[in-house]
Amino acid sequence: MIKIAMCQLLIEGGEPIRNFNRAKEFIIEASKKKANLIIFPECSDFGWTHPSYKKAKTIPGKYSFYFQELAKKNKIDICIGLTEKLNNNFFNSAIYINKKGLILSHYRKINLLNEEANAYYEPGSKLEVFDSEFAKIGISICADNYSKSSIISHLLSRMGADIIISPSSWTVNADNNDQNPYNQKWSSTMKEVTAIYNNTFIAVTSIGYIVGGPVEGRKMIGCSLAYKNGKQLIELNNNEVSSELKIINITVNKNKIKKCGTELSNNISINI
Amino acid sequence: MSKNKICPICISDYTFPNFIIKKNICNYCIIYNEINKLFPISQKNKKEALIIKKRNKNSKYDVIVGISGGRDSTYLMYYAKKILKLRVLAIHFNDGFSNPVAGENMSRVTKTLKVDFKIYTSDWKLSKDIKISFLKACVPDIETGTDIGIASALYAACYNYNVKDILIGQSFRTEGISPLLWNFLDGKYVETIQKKFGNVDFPDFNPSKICFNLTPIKIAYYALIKGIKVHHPFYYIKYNKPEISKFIIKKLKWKPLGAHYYDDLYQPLMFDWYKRKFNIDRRKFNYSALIRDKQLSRNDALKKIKKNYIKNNEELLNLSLKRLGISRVFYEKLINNKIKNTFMNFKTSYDILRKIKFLIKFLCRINIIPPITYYKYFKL
Repeated sequence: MIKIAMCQLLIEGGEPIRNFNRAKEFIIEASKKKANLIIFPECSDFGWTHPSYKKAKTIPGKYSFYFQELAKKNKIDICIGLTEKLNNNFFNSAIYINKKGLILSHYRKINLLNEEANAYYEPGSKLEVFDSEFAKIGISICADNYSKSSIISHLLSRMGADIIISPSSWTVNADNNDQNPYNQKWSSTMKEVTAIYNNTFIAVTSIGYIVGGPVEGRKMIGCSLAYKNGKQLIELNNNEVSSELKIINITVNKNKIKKCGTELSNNISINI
Repeated sequence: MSKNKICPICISDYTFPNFIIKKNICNYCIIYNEINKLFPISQKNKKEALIIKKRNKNSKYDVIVGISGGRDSTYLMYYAKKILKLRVLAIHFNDGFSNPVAGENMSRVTKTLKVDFKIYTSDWKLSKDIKISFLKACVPDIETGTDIGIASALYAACYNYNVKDILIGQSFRTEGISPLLWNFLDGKYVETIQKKFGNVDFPDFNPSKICFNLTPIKIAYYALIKGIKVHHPFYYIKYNKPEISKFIIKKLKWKPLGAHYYDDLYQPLMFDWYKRKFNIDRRKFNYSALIRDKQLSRNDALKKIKKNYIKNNEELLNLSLKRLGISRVFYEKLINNKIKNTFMNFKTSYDILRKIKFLIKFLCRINIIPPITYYKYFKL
């Protein structure tokens, strides 16, 4: 049994220190509650597509060190989305840090939205799964899970991921007060993939108002999701003003892939 | 007027508009005494709650309570639900400057009290542009757009949920009355400033949505056609701020925000703007109210006024500027230019309101509009 803390963090655009201070409190809380892993949203430093992204650090670098120290100190694995600077390029990245403070995986988002691809980030160039202490894990980020981009999660699953973790920043219009705000935009891939591969898919999104950049004025309202074996495990609260931490218990399926080889492709409904 | 003039009872002074001392009492204390007699501590809230229940018997909720995550609105929610036994819908207006700690308070307390909670989110581009327009207009009351936005969100919620009563967590006893020239609330004023200095247009009026140009005609629609009333329960109860804080910390796990009004991250910028551009310290009318209500000694108030208002003021001021997308240099130019306007320099509803001031007095008395409006608009 793995205890995973889903932290849909309130992210203030352009305010990495304030965002990190909040994240730190949740890391401590999750650790006290004996969670093995805590997951944070996409771009937990500057906020997704905030114009201040050029202040991003390298990975490894100042910001990843901050979380590496916290992981070590609090004896908890951390997966967090960070903006990454590499020479003159920027990436929408996520890292997985183990409880010893080592970065086990570093992923760069591939399916960038037009808004971010045109002016902000470069696409990533690799997919990987890796062994954490308790499961084989793959990372995808937010729009990587669009139904037309679900090939990414299919590939991670075929590469053996027991758990797919997806730091995200799902947004809606400011006047969206729907009970079902995303209308299966995110859940369809999670449901489909976990049904085929009998694995777990956890997407943690952010909270707050987007106060700059190409999608300025949209809001992030949580409703983070976890799926297992094609069924929804949990949906966190719809909220736009405060963070939420929820701990879920996951059992990793053994022999999870029932089929193998090209037979699996028959179940993939993606249309590229 | 002498720059040494300060009321011997409160700490109102020469910086207040139309400030006069006669027979060792200032005109602000005199107005307070008048209002205090009009709204004595009483059991009125419980009687009013019965009427409110009847008026809303066919709706899911009895009242709309505006909340910010600060002390006053948090206690109001508790008071409405637990003491008055009303079915409460809590409404928060989000314009992108909510303090995250206040956000946590709202989520936690509504959950604890089992109160339904809805957020009305402003059009960020418009609300941001209105804030910038007010800075460019060089008037003191740069938060008018937000204040009108809050009022309109509460009216819109009433319209959407078919509720006829709004509770507001303010009291003249503990907050005082800000002089009209420092804080003029009028949708027409917002409209004029935005048309002159802004770049984003207002949407057409839709009573179910936030409206920043909430003119008296539009308020009349909500108040007279829809029959929505505004109540101030704190006018009728003893409200001791430190005791209330202790109570809600213990009972509701409320977290203090660090300073009064600090539910809004824009406050440090406002404080700086008032202080440096207009030599206005808004704490003076807050502390004066607490002195009159015997919650603060005059000596302590004079000591407090010399201290900083909010920790990390500079950091939060810069946060606001960054969020508005304006530079510090631009802001300092506005602070240091010689233009010092008030609402009187712009087209507003004030002239019309003056012509119907006795109607306003009547509407105040029957809670159609906030009861101290008449005093604020026509007596100070």
